[in-house]
Amino acid sequence: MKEVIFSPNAYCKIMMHSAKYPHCAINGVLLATDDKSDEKLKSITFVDVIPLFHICLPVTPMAEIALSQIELWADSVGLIIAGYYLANENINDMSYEKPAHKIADKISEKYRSASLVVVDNKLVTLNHSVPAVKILCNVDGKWKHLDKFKVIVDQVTLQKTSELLQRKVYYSLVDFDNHLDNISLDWKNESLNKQINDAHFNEKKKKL
Amino acid sequence: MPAFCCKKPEKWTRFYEMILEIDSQPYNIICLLSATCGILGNAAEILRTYREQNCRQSQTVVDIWDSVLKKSIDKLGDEKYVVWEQVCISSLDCNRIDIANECLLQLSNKFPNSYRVRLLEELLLEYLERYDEALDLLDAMIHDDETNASPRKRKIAILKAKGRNAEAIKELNEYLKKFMIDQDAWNELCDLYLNEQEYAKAAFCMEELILQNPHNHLFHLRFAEIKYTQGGIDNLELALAYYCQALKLSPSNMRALFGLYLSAKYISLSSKLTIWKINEHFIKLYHIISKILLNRTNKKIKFGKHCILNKLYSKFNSLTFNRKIEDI
Repeated sequence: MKEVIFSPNAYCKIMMHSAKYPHCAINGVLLATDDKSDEKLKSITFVDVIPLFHICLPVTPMAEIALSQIELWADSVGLIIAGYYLANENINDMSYEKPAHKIADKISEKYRSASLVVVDNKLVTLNHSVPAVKILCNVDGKWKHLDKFKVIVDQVTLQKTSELLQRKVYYSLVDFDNHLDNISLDWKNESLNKQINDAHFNEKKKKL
Repeated sequence: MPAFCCKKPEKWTRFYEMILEIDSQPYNIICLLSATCGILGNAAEILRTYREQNCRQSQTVVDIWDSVLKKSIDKLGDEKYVVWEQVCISSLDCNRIDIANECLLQLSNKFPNSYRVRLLEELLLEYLERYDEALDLLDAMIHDDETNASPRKRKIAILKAKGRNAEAIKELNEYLKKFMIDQDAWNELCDLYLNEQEYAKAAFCMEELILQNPHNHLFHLRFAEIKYTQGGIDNLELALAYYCQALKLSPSNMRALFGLYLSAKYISLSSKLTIWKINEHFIKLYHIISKILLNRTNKKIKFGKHCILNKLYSKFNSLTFNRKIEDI
């Protein structure tokens, strides 16, 4: 099975989405670069995520609108929807069989090596030491757990995520529900992406 | 204390002369006091809004408590009791047991035999995951006062926290047979049914809510979404009707507009509609809606037209165009 690498943007935004709505179930999609020879590569890198919903996940109309828009946009920037992430309402709940998560099956129909990322709520803290996610890969139509050693998140990313959570930057994250409430908000989170990248870049510069 | 920054202006105007004249110690103290009262007033206003709208913004409440209200709670008069209750619940949400204990102490001193304070003690036990003791306390409270709804709801909340959704649904149904007007309970039951994929029963809960509150556009919207999710031409037509109603009650509701667009599109694509004229009406309907959607988004988004939505609608609309040719 493949290795899964999270970029700073992807990991930070998943954690921020969970932190912004700690009492809700949340979901979103993961984007990777559209490389035709992906099947032969040993690893997949999630470049970005689009946080989707935190209100009433099992109903589908807004999910259809969201996924169509994201697919069109991703096509235009050379990305592909390569995964789906979710976090459950209950702190101990790591299930992924709820009706809302059929989106993951739909994604795997279009992209064979799709991944399902379940956020481990107990590990989402203000001081991340390990990646707070469990990954499942689609093997012959079934979801199989990926070894935690194959989940790669940079130490700098973990540190920066902890810092951003402590500074409560997650209030500026926009998910698709926020966009539907106020259409002028940008669901691509371009300004937040820039903030995360700058923070990450400065940290790397310090280390060098 | 001038309310402007301390940097001296380049042009010396009469306005600044006046400010310097009143820049005296007594005036500054009055300004500081009124600013503090203003901040305190604002803080109390925010908490009041959260109580009225039943918002779950626990971190904000705890931050307001830490920064403003902790030291000046007595200035709020009688409102301080409800504020203590609100801060206690929010602090349990945010793992701040120190604040929770402080608020609980104050409230139990003031109201020694109160049910509301006992409920807060029970919440503390739930926070500590001592569910058996919490359930004992709740059973005692229900035994003492059968008409009190809150302990019964906390029992259902404990079942949900333990992950026993099926039992929670059963208990909630029993509760609603006795307390039929409880809108929050109907909402919660709807959510539980949706998680179990029982769309028909979830739709029933929303119908109860619409009956109790026919002018709330959110209930019509949620009902339409459930009907759309169920699928099938009959459900889509119902969804269309309820999306229209939601839009009538709240014209700026984007979800209703998007939902109306999707339902009209799928109805027009349905093979059950053999009468050409009706099909044409639906096609016209969603062309009009796509124009409205584009207009709305372009007005709100400052830079550039919404090209993604543009592409989306041309993609959807081209599907119907091809079908029209097939029909001929």
